[in-house]
Amino acid sequence: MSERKTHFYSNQPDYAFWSRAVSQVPPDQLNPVISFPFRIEAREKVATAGSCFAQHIARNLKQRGFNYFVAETAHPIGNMVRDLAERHNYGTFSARYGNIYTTRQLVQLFDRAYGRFVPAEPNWSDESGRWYDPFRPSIEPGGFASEAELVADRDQHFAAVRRMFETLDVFVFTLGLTECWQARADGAAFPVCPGTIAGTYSDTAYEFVNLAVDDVVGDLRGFLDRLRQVNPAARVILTVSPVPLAATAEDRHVLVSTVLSKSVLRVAADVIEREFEHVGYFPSYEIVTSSANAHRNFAKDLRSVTDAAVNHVMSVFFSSVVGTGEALPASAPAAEEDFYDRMEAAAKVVCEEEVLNRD
Amino acid sequence: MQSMRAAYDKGQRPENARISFVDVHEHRAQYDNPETDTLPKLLKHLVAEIDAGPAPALWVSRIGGNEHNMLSLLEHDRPIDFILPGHEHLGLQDGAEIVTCAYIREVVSTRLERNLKYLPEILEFCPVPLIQVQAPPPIGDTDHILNNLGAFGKNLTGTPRIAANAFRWKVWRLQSQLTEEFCRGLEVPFLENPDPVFSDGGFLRDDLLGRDPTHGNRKYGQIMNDLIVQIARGEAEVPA
Repeated sequence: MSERKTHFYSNQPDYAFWSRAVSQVPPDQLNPVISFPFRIEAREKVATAGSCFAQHIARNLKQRGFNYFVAETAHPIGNMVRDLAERHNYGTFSARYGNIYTTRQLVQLFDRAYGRFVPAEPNWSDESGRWYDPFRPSIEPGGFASEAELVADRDQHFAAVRRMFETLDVFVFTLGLTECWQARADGAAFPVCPGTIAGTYSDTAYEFVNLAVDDVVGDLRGFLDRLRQVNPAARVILTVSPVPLAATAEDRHVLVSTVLSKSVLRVAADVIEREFEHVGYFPSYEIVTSSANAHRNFAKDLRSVTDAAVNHVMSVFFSSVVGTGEALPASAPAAEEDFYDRMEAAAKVVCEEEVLNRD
Repeated sequence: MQSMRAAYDKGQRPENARISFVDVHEHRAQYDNPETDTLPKLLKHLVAEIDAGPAPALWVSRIGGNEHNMLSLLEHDRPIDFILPGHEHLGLQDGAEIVTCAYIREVVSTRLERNLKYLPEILEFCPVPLIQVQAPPPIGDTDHILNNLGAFGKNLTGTPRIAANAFRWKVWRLQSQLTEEFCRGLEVPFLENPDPVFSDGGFLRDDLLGRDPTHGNRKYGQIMNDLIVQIARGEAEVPA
């Protein structure tokens, strides 16, 4: 009778084997999170930033009664108009910075908010006299009415960004792209190529950059160092967006560029997670793009992530990362709305009383 | 409208002029469904009355007008301000939360449309020229407002604070712009307040303040009545 050979893998747990952890698991039960370096309690303030996919995370945190931290909230006067705050990008992320696709944008946002970096790029205007912030060109629908309005709004935005970094408990950042456009003058990184949403494209003013692993790792180290300076207790969750590139600036197939970009981001996240105890990596990218699920996790455009996929990701997130404490009741802005309800009622009464004062 | 009506009722009437005042709210009680019935039935009644007697030269609408006070008279716990294009010199209040003009414009517009939506209906029935009159300018004397707060002061916790004058003026001005735009779309002339009702700062002149935080007095009503009669007689025009 021969003895069964033992080797290293003999003692590996089930989750280390594709057949047991992926092939034999119902696709909607796939959960690649084995352990997470920390848990988030429901009352902790969670802020988000990143690419489009980060918007899903933000929305789900809100919907599930989590303490989703919005440092730059819409003034309640806007509650009187349906979707006004949303259309002006309040609450899309924790402050009105719009999509932050690259780590270069993230670290520069921090520096711009703290006055450490003032890009040379002037504000953009169009032929109709509307103004655009080059670093968040979609933030105000139709652009700002004047440059003075843009500057006032940006100053207020930076104050909110500082408040966010200094008081958040957990920062969730979704890494989206490595390809980016920057100013030749000082390396200021734009969210999109100048000229696409606003601004005017210029070969002499702007250049294309495709961040390598060292670039992304360097940016993340720089960001974590800065965050630690203003908020020593902050913890960070990194995710990689599963959304493919819409277009590549490289002279190659967009699929090849997508795989390279996501691979670079994934490697950088791994380097950082291993290096910093207060950083955890959450595998939303793996859940969505795994061969077990990819065929049904993307919409017809093979780029947009389906609601079912987002729900799957968030279910794993809540079961693996979130503590067992009770969720907060959904916050209601009723008290603030009351002010204007009372004023409306008062205006009516005053008009009616004036009739009595005619004599 | 009540200041104009009060001036007229008290005998401060433009010479040889007859003005009739119709307050839609005063007629609401007689209809089963005041929200949908009052205005059309009232308009039909008015037109029948006119057909039976001498035709007026002009219909004047004072629909809406107090929306700006609802939004800006008292200071919110989160004081707010914005830059109104063309009036940048008014600056921004220290410590106030800044919203964009587009943001507050949509709020004012939404509130205004609740009332201005009736203007096309009036226009449809109106057998003579129709004009819309601007709301009186805001009151700059905050002591007067605080001493006459009335319903605005009720159900508030703490001491009411009057919002900054510049903010209140900007909201009123924005409301006027939006009303004028709405009227232009209907080709209804928009009559702004004449210069004599304004203080040097652009607020309602001190001797024209009513006994509440938002309205003008009879003297203000008389000025407006005189102007409207001049327009009806063709002695004055609604400035383009």
